[in-house]
Amino acid sequence: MTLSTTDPNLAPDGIPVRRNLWLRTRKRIPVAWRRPLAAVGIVIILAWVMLAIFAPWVAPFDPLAQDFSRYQPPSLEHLFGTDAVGRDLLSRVIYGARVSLPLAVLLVALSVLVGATVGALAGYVGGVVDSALMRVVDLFFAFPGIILAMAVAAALGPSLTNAVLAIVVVSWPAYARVTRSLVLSLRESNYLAASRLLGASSGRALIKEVMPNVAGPVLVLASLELGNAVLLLSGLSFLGLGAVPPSAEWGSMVSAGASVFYYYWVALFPGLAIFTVVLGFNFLGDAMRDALDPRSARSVATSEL
Amino acid sequence: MLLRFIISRLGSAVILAIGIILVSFTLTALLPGDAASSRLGERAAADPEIMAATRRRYGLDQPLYIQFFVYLGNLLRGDLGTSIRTQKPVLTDLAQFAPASAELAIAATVIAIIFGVGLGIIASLRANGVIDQGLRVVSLGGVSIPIFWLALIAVFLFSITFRIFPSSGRLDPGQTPPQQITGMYTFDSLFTGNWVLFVSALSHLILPALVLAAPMVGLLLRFTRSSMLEVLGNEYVRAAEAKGLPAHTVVLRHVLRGALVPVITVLGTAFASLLAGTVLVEQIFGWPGIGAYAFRSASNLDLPAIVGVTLFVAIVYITVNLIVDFLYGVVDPRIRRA
Amino acid sequence: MSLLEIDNLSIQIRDNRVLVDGVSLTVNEGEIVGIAGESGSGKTVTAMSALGFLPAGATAHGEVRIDGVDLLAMNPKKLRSIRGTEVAMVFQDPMTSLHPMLNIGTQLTEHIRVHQGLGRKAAWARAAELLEMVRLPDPHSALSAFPHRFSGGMRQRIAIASALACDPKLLIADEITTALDVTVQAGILDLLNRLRHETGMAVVFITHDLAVMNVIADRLYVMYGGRIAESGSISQVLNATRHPYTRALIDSLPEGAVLGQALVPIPGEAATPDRRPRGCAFNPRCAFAVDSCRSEVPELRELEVGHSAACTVDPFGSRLDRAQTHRPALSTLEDPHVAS
Repeated sequence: MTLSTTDPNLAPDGIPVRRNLWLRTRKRIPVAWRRPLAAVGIVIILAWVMLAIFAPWVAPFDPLAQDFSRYQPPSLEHLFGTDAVGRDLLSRVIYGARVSLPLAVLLVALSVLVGATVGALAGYVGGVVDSALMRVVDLFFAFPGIILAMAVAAALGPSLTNAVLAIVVVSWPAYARVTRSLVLSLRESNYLAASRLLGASSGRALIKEVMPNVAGPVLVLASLELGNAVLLLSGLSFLGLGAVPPSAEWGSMVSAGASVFYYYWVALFPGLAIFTVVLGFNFLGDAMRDALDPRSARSVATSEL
Repeated sequence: MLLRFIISRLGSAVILAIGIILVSFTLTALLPGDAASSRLGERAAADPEIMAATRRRYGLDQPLYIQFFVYLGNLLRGDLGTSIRTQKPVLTDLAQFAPASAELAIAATVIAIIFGVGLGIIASLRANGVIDQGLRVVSLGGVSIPIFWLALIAVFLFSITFRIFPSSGRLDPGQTPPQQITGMYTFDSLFTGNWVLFVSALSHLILPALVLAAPMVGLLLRFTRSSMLEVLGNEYVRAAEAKGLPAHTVVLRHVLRGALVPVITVLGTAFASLLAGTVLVEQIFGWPGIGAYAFRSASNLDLPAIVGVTLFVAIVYITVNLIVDFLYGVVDPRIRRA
Repeated sequence: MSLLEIDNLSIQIRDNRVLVDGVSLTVNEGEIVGIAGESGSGKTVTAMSALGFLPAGATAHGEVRIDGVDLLAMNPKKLRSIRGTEVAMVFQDPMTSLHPMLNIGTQLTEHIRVHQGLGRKAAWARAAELLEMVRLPDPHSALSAFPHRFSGGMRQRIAIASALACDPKLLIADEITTALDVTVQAGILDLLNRLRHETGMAVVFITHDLAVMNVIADRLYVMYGGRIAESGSISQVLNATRHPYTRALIDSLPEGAVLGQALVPIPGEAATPDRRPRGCAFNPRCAFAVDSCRSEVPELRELEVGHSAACTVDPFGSRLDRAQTHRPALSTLEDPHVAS
């Protein structure tokens, strides 16, 4: 009985109904306003990556050399001051990027590798394998990762490698869930069936058809988790379960300043470094999430409990 | 129907708990640290005879699966083993430290709900305006700030510089805790009408709770905003406005109600994962809770305590998920039916 | 003075897109006035202005008067006191216009309590009365139920009951039958007609379906491209059509095809605020368009008492008799299910 086809996204009068038309009469500021945050994020991340790569040229002093008098407040010579054994804090903060950034990437990559493999397997094979694997995933979701990390550090001795492994053990399940749900929805779709009809083997179909479609959302989730990885790692180091002295790691540097409030700069600047790096990742991730899908990969990960 | 729901959920909860014990058993067994030597001093550990006796005494000479079933059997009798470090039953330790953490976690959650949801509502009503952009930065800042660093800054500013809040502990030195009812000092002092103690307990609680709440505020703000925005486009919101209802009724009763399910989901996940933050915050504020207990137990390879804490945290996680499921039904009648 | 007087209303949003362009319209007490038109014609935006609603970021010129008071000049608080009491609204899709998480009783009583200051008990009694008025079976138990328990037709009855709660003088009914099955539609139209007589309220009935319009409306405005193309009594507009667009709408009705006539779709695409041709907005789709149609916007002219059309060509003016013999009069095309 309709005279014209109705676009489901349009109100009866052809105005997009994305958001409430009537409640907010205030004039909307263009969407482009959002982009500056993403740009700021990119600039921060790039700056830190550059600092990490060119640390030996950028840093004014040797990060390990105990050449100066201890606990000097920030000055022109030592912009961030010096620490308990007379090391230049600016140089240590700059060198800290060489520890945190690659480890965060490594940590997330390992988690993605384990999680995506398990998730893809569960979603693709289905049946008993699926439910068994997903129970394991549930298990690790409920498992308090920090306790594991602490126990591992206590048993093996604190080291960054152990901290990374402990975090991977508890962070892969999120990727497993997302990958599985993506594979499941792909399995329903037609073109996987089509490629099977064309005689592709299961393994080939998994790699050639599923992988490219799953990769996008999983990588978004992974990039969102980079900031978290930096936070977790530095947290463990702060507790003395990760980096060991004299390594220039931000979390353990904050820890060194935790007991000497009078020399506030010892803890202030390494913490600021962590904050800015994570903020950079999150500014970027937030924009990516907005750009890709309102129902982000992360919300899939958290809503299927 | 509700009963059947509860029973089936409890059943899977028990299976999950057994799985947790199994995993933590296996993982601790894989660790190279020796559970027997950690019970002894260095000199005693060097003596093979004492070592063997210790192993026998704690059943450590048995194969792992036997130890596992022994543990399960003891668990049924409410025995979680004895902590090596404190020499007290793990259950007693947990009962002693859990209320302090519960108090901290609840306070942080309340703060997070007030600020996270409140600011999220404001951001959604001003979507893409200047206020919304500012709140976006606040939200991302909240989830980006290292909590241990924030804690140090808070102590430096509010305890050392301005001396507004005490920097550590649950009460002032010399104060005796209120009579134990819940174990949470703020509640207990309130119930017993001890105002001096209440003020002291509250002033000790505020700073760590605020710090612990920071990431949750960021998370809730973002999810409340996006969920509200999705609901704002619904026709039932326009219908509520067409009825001439006051703005606060439309926003709170109609829009927020419709936006609540995703917010509850995030709140549940955030609460269940508070532990990591709790360990750091309790460490810095000298707060005698589960986080601090877990840290000391792990550092000392106190295996019974480690498994006990793990189990405890997993049970909290499972319970929170049950509550979240239950709240879904309370909020949304369509879910109640299913 | 009429109940609702829209006077030369123009509504624009960003980028100077014009949603409504110089529309004037009156609704008298107790009458049902139809606004017909395709998507993008501005009919909903026009009707929503009677509640003081404008699209986000829109600016409006002209006046929208209820009982002589201009809504566009009113502050938000005053507007809220008019919404739900003087003017109420029923929306298109009853599946989405009721809040899924609030029970029927709450949704029926919240505005009664705000506007009339009734207590909970009195308001719920009134709500039960309202559900009886709209013939919802078992009104008392319905109050504590949630919308998902009810079918589309039942929900629309509930939505109508909610709109009637504070005895409005004017009801805006925006495509309220479009989302419903034909048999259910008939029941809702029947109900609306009965309620109009019982309560004496006026109704602005919006639909693109002229067959439905023919059953329910006393007078009709046909809108196209944000302007009024034709207006008059229902028989004037549908049986003595003067505007090519109205004619095209009638010809495209499936009912015509049922009676052995060829169904004639309107060629081309409807004008929208994004895509509005110069001159008469209908000219690219019009079989009678001449050069002046492409440059000049035709004025709405009164052709006989109460009947106006905005067409400079006026192709049916001289050939009125032929047009009528050519096509069956719409009054004979009543929906077999609808007893008016």
